[in-house]
Amino acid sequence: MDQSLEPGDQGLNGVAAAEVARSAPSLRRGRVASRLRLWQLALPATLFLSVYFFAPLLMLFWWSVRAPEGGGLTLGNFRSLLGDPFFLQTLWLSLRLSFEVTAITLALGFPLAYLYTKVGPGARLAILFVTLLPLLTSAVVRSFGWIVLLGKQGLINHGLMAMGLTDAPIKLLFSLEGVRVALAQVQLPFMLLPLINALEQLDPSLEAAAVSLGASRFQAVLRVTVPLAMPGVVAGAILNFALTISAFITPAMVGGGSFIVMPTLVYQSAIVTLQWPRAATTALILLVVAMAVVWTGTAVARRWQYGARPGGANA
Amino acid sequence: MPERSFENHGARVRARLGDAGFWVSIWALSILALVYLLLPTLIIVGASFTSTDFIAFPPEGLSLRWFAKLWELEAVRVAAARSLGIAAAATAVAVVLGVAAAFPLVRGSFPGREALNALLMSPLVLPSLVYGLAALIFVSALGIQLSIAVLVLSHVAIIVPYVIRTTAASLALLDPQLEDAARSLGANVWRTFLHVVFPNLLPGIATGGAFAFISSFDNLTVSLFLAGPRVETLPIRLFAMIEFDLDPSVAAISAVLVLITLAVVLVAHRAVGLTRIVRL
Repeated sequence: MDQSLEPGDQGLNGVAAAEVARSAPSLRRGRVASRLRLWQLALPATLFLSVYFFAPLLMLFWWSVRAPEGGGLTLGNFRSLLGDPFFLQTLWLSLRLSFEVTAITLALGFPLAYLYTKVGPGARLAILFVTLLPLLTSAVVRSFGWIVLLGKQGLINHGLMAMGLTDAPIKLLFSLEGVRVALAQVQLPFMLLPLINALEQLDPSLEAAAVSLGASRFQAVLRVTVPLAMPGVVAGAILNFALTISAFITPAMVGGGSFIVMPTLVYQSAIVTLQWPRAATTALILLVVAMAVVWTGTAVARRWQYGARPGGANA
Repeated sequence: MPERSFENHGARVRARLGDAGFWVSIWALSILALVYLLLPTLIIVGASFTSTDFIAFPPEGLSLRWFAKLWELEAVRVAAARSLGIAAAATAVAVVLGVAAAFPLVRGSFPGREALNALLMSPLVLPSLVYGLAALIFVSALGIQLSIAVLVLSHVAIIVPYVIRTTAASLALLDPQLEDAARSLGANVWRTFLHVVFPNLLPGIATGGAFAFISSFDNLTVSLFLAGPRVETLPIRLFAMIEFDLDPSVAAISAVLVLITLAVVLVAHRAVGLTRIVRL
């Protein structure tokens, strides 16, 4: 580096340059992050989670396959649960409820996320605020709001009767319909954020091109925007499904014991009847089912995306 | 030719009408979604100002009596103080662990960095119900008594990803040469961290810390498993009150919680801006 300097520069500048050149390696070492070996900074968090997060999960697995008399492994817990019609019915209800809630959030989330990309900064901020406020509000508080809304004297029944749609209050609270409506509201922000993120990154001129070539706006959105936003749609749907199937608070509060979903079953076996092996097995089945849906969804979406891409695998 | 242009005109009118229909439905569904998102929160805040002895919406008469009554409910006061303490302690630990872990995830180039990232983020993916049960079984298998310390650590496990994620996002924007500059001007490692790195990371840390705090403060699912019968947090108290003695003071507590949430959203907005939070 010194050689490249002009002779006349060899005053202060030359000394400074030489100084910098000499100390460069030690400087790099001196960055806060690289003074220790970098990965060592992740050590506390990794150790903590290994002991306090992953070890408990292993223990959960162990409790589900451990034979009751100590000694030996067994699949008895899984066999007895999966052979129980009531358990299978609960599993099916949980799956169905999660699919329905995901469909509702997608149907309401997509238009709002699409609108987000078409409005000015002020309106965008308002949409984000309305999305984030419920997202960060306690699930207990939101479920309580739905209890007030859905009750016999609640706003929704008042509204329905005022519009003449019904003569007597409908039973919405402590019903599956009520839980579906409340859960979809609780989950909607989790659908909106990935959708907004995906739609925002699209080039708006693609949709505009389709329109200028004669497509209606609806056709352009359906044939251009939706396929391009598919990764976000799939991410949002998968996240929603996984969160809904494991949601405990809203079904417990708004459903009020009128029906049972998988998380209720886990809680009851663990805390009420104190059957920990049964609770552990139920929790693991819940986890495996949720992960299976996540993986299948991801795989199907990826395949579909590659298939749909012109010049991709098909060409 | 005039016929054709007439046809074109007709098609264009039809397309316009179709587009109008499209925009009307987009706006209608969006407004529905926005109302739907806000409704439960508005109902609760509204109902908390009622002067009646039962929960009513729209509130009948306006009064602050249920907020005043909160001070008389000792169980609520104790539970709230306990929840604040737990959330503060859990957030402090999570910030220390999370900020340190963010450095290698952003700046490191070692094998397994992606795997490490997935590992540290996995508490976000795993249902907290499953974790709550797992932690309960684990702790009792080790013969450890349930205590507030156990509860705090379990909260740390589920909130640490928030801090890592937001700090990493801030760190990715920070030019490493700034640190070199500070060092070459004679600052030592700690001064460089304190005066150059930390101020630049502060928005990310504040946002992650605020999210972590509210997640711990509002947590019910994990606490139900790990709090044990004697330790009552505010969400557990609230859950029990809604089930057993529901009166407008529940709405007043909820309104206070909404206010705290509002503060967190504002902190996040001041620190990094809501539009950037979406991309985290």
